[in-house]
Amino acid sequence: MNTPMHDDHIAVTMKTLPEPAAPPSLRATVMARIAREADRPQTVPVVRERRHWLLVAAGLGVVIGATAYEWFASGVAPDFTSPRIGSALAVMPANGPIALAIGIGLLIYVAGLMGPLRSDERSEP
Amino acid sequence: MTEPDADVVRTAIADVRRGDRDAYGRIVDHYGRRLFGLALMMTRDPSAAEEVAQDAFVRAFQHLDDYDQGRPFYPWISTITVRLAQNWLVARTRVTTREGTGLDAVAPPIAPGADPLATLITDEGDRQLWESVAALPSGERTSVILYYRQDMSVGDIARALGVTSGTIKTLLFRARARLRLAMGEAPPGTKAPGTSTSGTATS
Repeated sequence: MNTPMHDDHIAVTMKTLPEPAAPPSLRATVMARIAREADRPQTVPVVRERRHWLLVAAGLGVVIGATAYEWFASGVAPDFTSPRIGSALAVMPANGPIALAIGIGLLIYVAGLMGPLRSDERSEP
Repeated sequence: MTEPDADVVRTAIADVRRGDRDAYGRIVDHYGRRLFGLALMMTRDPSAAEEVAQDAFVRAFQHLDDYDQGRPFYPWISTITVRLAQNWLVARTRVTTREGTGLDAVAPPIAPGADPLATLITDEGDRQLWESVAALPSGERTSVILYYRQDMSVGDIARALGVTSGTIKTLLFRARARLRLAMGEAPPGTKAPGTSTSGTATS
């Protein structure tokens, strides 16, 4: 049987369609989930965030430490004068192990900065 | 717009805000059936609909502070449900459009008699229309359900689904054309077909 179909027909029919009963356990499940969420200590994100900041600080520490060591070891006082008013351009230390330490420090620093993004990607549904 | 059951919601929410978490159960009881029905219409999968309804209630509880008590509660929580159901559909079909919402995902065929809603409909014409709606691609089906069943405006549907009003108008236009074909009527401006058309979900 074909019924003439107009906007009103769709509207009326759609409104009069029966509603299936909700699952009997819906209330109990929802309330249990709410209780679980409310009782769960919210420490995980804080701990995770702290770990990322520690990585950033550690990376910076390694870079600054290695640079400072280079300056002290070379016996040359650091020159903070801007190159625009006559100072020589700052160059990466030629010393291999120092350059390696600075590189590792930068990697740790970047890993710490990117950490929250990676965590978010992992926690995506 | 006022809700006939606004008092139930208002007192329940006031109790929840005073720290009585169990008062939220009254809201679940009150809207459980409607939200489950909405989720079931959108997902056509009872277990998914239950999951969506649960998630919607839990999320609404978590964001209860954002709810403006001057406005009706049902449109607020039903928008949460619609978004969650749409996310479920997108995750399931893994089809994305230019707008990234999967609105053109084609509804997978459902076995005859397996549609839990169709089995509840006694009128043959109504069942035929619902089965035609259920066979629409998910974006068109969602638009029809929200526009005709939920009485949402085109703008509200667009906001809930994160697309433009034009997209919703197009989806409704296409859905109406498909429904006319499915019900054996000629689309406007064409000759009336002699027989009804099956396979409405294919685009």
